[in-house]
Amino acid sequence: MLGAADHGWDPEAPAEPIIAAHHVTRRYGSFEALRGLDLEVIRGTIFGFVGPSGAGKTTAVRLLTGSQRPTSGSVTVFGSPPATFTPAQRARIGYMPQLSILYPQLSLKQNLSFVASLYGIPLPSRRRRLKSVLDFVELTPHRRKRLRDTSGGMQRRLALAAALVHDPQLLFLDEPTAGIDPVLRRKFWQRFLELREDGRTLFITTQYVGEAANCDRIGVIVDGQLLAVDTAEGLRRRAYGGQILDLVAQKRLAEETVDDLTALDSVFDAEWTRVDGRALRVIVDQAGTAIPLLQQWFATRGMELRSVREHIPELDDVFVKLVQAERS
Amino acid sequence: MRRAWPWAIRISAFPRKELIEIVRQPLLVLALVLGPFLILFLFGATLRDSPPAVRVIFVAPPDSPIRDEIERFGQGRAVGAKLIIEDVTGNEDAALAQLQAGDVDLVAVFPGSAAEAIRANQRATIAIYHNRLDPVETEAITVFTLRLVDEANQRVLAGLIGQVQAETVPVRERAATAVDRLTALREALERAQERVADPELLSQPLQQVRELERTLSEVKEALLRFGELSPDVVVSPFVGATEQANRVTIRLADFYAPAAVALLLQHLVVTFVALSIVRDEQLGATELFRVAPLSPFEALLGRYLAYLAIGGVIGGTVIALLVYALGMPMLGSWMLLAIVVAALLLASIGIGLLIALVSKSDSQAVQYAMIVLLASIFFSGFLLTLDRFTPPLPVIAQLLPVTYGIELLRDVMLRGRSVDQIRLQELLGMGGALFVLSFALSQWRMRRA
Repeated sequence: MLGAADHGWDPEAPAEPIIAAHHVTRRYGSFEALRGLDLEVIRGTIFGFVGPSGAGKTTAVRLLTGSQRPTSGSVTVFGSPPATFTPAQRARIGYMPQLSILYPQLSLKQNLSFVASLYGIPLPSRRRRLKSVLDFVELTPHRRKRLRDTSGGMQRRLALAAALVHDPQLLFLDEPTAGIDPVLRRKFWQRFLELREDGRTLFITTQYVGEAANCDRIGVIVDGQLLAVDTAEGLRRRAYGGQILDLVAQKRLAEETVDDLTALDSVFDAEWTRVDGRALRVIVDQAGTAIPLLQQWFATRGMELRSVREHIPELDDVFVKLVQAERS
Repeated sequence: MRRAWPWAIRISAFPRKELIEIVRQPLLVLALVLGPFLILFLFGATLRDSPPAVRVIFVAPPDSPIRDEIERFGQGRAVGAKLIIEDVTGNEDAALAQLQAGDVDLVAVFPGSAAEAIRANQRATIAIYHNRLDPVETEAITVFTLRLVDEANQRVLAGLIGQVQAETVPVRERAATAVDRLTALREALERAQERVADPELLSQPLQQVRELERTLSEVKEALLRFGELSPDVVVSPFVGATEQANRVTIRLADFYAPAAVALLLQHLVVTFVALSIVRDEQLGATELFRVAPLSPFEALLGRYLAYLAIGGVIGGTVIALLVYALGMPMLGSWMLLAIVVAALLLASIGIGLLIALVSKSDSQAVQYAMIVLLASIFFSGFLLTLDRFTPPLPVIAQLLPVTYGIELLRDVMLRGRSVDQIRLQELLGMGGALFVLSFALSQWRMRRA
C-alpha cells in the first residue's frame, strides 16, 4: 500500500545488522537507565523490545535514534553513530514516540504536512504521501478534524502515519499500541507486518508481551538490563529449558514415573500437573522427536496415554519466568 | 527542486505551523489585534488633554484684608477652569475635614497677619494641604501650588501697583497744575524781560523757571505713562509660549501610542516564542525535531521567520488602525517603520528564545515573560524618561529591545525624521547577538542530551 522503501534496500541482499549496540550504558546523574546493552537488528525484520514500564525501552530508542547519546559504549545505525547522522541518513529513519507529540490546534492533515515538511518533502509529492499514509492508517475521512477533537486511538494512528510519511527504511515505534483497544492493536500489528513485507525494518517497544509473538526477534529488558535476545521460541526454551509436552494417561501412573522419565536423555525435566497421578508436564529438547519416543516408552511399560501434545506457553508467562529467574 | 531546497521546506514548516495555530484561534487573533487597538482607542478617547480642575478652599480670617482679594480672585474663575474655588472660609478645621472626605483637592490657608508681615518687610507663608498619595500627582500639586503662590504674589503686587497708580493721579494733577503755573510764570517773566532796561537781571530767574517747568513736565509725563501701564504687565512682563519644533500637535495618547505598540510587540513575541518552544519540549516535539533531518539552525531560523511574520502582521495592523482609524500621527516613512518593527521583533524573539531555554514549564516561561514585561514598563522609558534614573539603570534599560523600539518608533511616527542610525544598528546588533547566543545554547543542550 505504501510502496517499497526507496532507500537502496535490496531484498536479495544478505542479512546484515542495520542496528548494532555494543556495551551501551546511559546514566542520568547517578541513575543508570541502561546497562551494557548489546543487540543487533537484522534488516527487513521486526525487533520487539519488551519490558515493563521504566525498564529502559524509551531510553534505548532515544539512543538508537540519536536524540540522546550513550554515556558509554557504541551505537551504530546504518553503520554510523546516530548522533552524527547527516540529514540524508536521518531521512531513512521513522520515529513514533511514546506520547502524542503533535499539535492539538492543527488538523490531522496539517500535523502530517508539518512532519512531512520537516523531512523536506516538496508540496506535490507531499500531497501524494499524505493521501497514501492517511489511507494506510484509515484516517482519510477524519483528516480535517483537529487533533484535540480526535480519540486516543486516532492520535496513535496519526503518530504512526507521521512516522511513515517520508517513507523511511527503518522505523522506531515506541510503545505504539499503549493505551489502545485490542481491535485497533491487532490492526496496528497487521500494518507492522505489512511494513515488514514491504522490506522495512521495525524496532518496536511494548509492555504487552503477547504482542511480541509477531516479532522476528525479541529483546527482554528489565531494570535497564537486557536479559535475553531471541526468537519467541528461543525465549520459551530459555525460560523453560526446552520444549514442553503435556501427557495425560488413561490410568493413574506409578509414582516413580517422574524419576524414570527424567533419567531419559531426551527428557530434561518432568513434573505432575494433577493430583490424580494421570497428568504430567515434560520438558524435552525437541517436541517433534520426543513425542514418538515417549509414546513408545509408555507403551513398553504397559501404560496407555490418552493424549500427548506440545504446550506452547504464553509469552507473558515466558517473560515472568525469565524475570523471576534473573531476579532470583 | 526536490533535492536543492529541502532545507527551505524544513524552515518553512515553522511559519506555516505557527500561523495555522494562531489562525485556528480566532479569539486569540481578535485579542491580539483588536485588544491593543481598543485599549489605545479608549485611552485616547477618554484621556483629558489637561489635568482636571483642582477644587480648593481658601482659609483666611474674616477680618483679613486679603480675604477680599481672594474673593475677587475667585470671581474671575469659571467652573471648568484649572481652579475651582469651592469656598472662602475662616474655619480651617472644617476645610481640612472636607479635604479628608475628598470633597476638595486642596486647602490653602492664608495667615491672618499677612498684611502686617508684608508691611513689616517679611514674607507671609500660605500653607497648602492636599490628600494625594501618588508621588506624580503630589509633584503636580507642588507645581500647582508654586503657580498659585506666584499668582497670589502677582496679584498682591498688581494690587499695590494699582494702588500706587491711583495715588499718583492727584500728584500728576498737581504736577500738571504746577506746570501750567510755571508756564504762565515763565511767559510773564519773558514779557517783563522785554520791557526792563537790564534784561540780564531776569535771565537767571527765567532760566531756573524754565528748568523747573521742564522737570515738572517730565514728572507729569512719567506719572501719566506710569498710570497708563497695566499692573498685570508690570508684575509679569513676560509670558511663555511653547510649540513643537515640527509644528505638530502631539496629544498625550499620540505620545504613548508608539511606546504601547513597541511594548505590545515585544511582550507578544517574547511570550509566544517562549511558550511555543517550551510546549514543543513538553509535548516531545523537540525529540521529533532531533530525529528528523532538521538542523538546530534550521529550526531556529524557522521560528524566527514565523514570529517575524506573525509580529509583523499584528504590528502592521495595529499601527495602521491607530493611524487611519484613530488619526494618530505617522510623520515618517512606512519603510523605515517596517525596518524598526522588524529589528524590534528580531531582538524580542531572541529574548523569548532565551526564556524558553531556561524555562522548564510553560508557567515558568509565562513568569519570566511577565518579569520582562514589568522591567520594560518601568525601565524602558515607557512610563518615565530614562533621564530620571541614576546608573546603572539606564545601562540595564539598554538590554531591553523595547527601550530602542520606543525611541525609534517615536522618531519615525512623531518626529517624522530619519531614526538614529546608531540606535537602530544597536537594536539589530542585539537581535543578531541573541540569535547567535540562542543557537549556541540550543547546540549545547543538544550535545548534553
